[in-house]
Amino acid sequence: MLLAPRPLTLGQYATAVGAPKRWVQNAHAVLGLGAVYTPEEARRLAFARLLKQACGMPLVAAYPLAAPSLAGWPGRRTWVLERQTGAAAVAVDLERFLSDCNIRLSLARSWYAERRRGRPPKARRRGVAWAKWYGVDVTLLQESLKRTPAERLRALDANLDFLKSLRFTGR
Amino acid sequence: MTLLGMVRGLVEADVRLVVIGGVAANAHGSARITDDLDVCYDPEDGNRRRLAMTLAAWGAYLRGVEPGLPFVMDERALRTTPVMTLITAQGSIDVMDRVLGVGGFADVLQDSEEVEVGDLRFRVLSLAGLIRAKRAARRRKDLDQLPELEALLELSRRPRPLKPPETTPPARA
Repeated sequence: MLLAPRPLTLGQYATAVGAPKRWVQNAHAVLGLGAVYTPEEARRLAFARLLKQACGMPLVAAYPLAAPSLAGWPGRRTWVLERQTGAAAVAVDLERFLSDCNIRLSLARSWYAERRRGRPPKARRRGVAWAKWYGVDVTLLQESLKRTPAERLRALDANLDFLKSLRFTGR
Repeated sequence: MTLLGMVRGLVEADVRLVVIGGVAANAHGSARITDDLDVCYDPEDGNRRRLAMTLAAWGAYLRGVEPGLPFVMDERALRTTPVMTLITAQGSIDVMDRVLGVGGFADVLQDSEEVEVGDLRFRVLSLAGLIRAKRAARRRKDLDQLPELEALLELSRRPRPLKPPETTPPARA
């Protein structure tokens, strides 16, 4: 069964659009979009932002062009906005644009997890005492330090191989 | 392929890089198992091109994104988005041209140490650098690793117990 992808948080959405959070919130207010943040919406808003930046088109005029333009890929590789005179005002390489959007979306989902808010807690303990209090098995670290970095890295690869074999044979 | 195999592939492709993240932490003694390789690369044009070509040859695709969506893995993609989280035929890899809390590639390189595994030589971010990076990132998974790294730093700075001097057995009378 396929699960529907989780909606994005505001921070992830702004990363996917490639714009500051405040800009995204203002854009949603101007376009009357509400606070639903999805990858598709991020692509549309990124496209509208591109048109706004490239040729100064107002967001309310650029946004309605986004959905039909992006739907043209993969049949059409380039989307061209023509002026009334027939001259091209802006040409968008759709594959490159969508690739850039997807890279930002990947970052938003896997790299830019929400940061811990506020001031970091003041550590009362440091070093080994803190690690013990936190639940780290310090004897493991002491054993590890007896080995060379090369031995540690080889052990990491061996452990990873073992874990992978467990994943493949697990039911 | 293994994590060391991925490092070897990049080094053999002449990509200038410093290994950071979980693999670097393991080199310093961390007991946590990681299944992805994090590297900080030199953003010089030629180096970026070699990295992009290697990743493209490994069939790199974006992690956390539905399969089949448009994605172009080339030098330009790395230039416009210097941080990428990728899954390849060889394994998962995160590439970036700077490390939060440490700085750009030059700073990362200066704060790195050489590791030798057989005939493979590469550089890993120092333990102090890793701690600064984890503190700056402030993600839950990074903060969770801090106590272990701080303990490793303290343990590695403690003077090692001296081996007892080898004594020659007293000569028989």
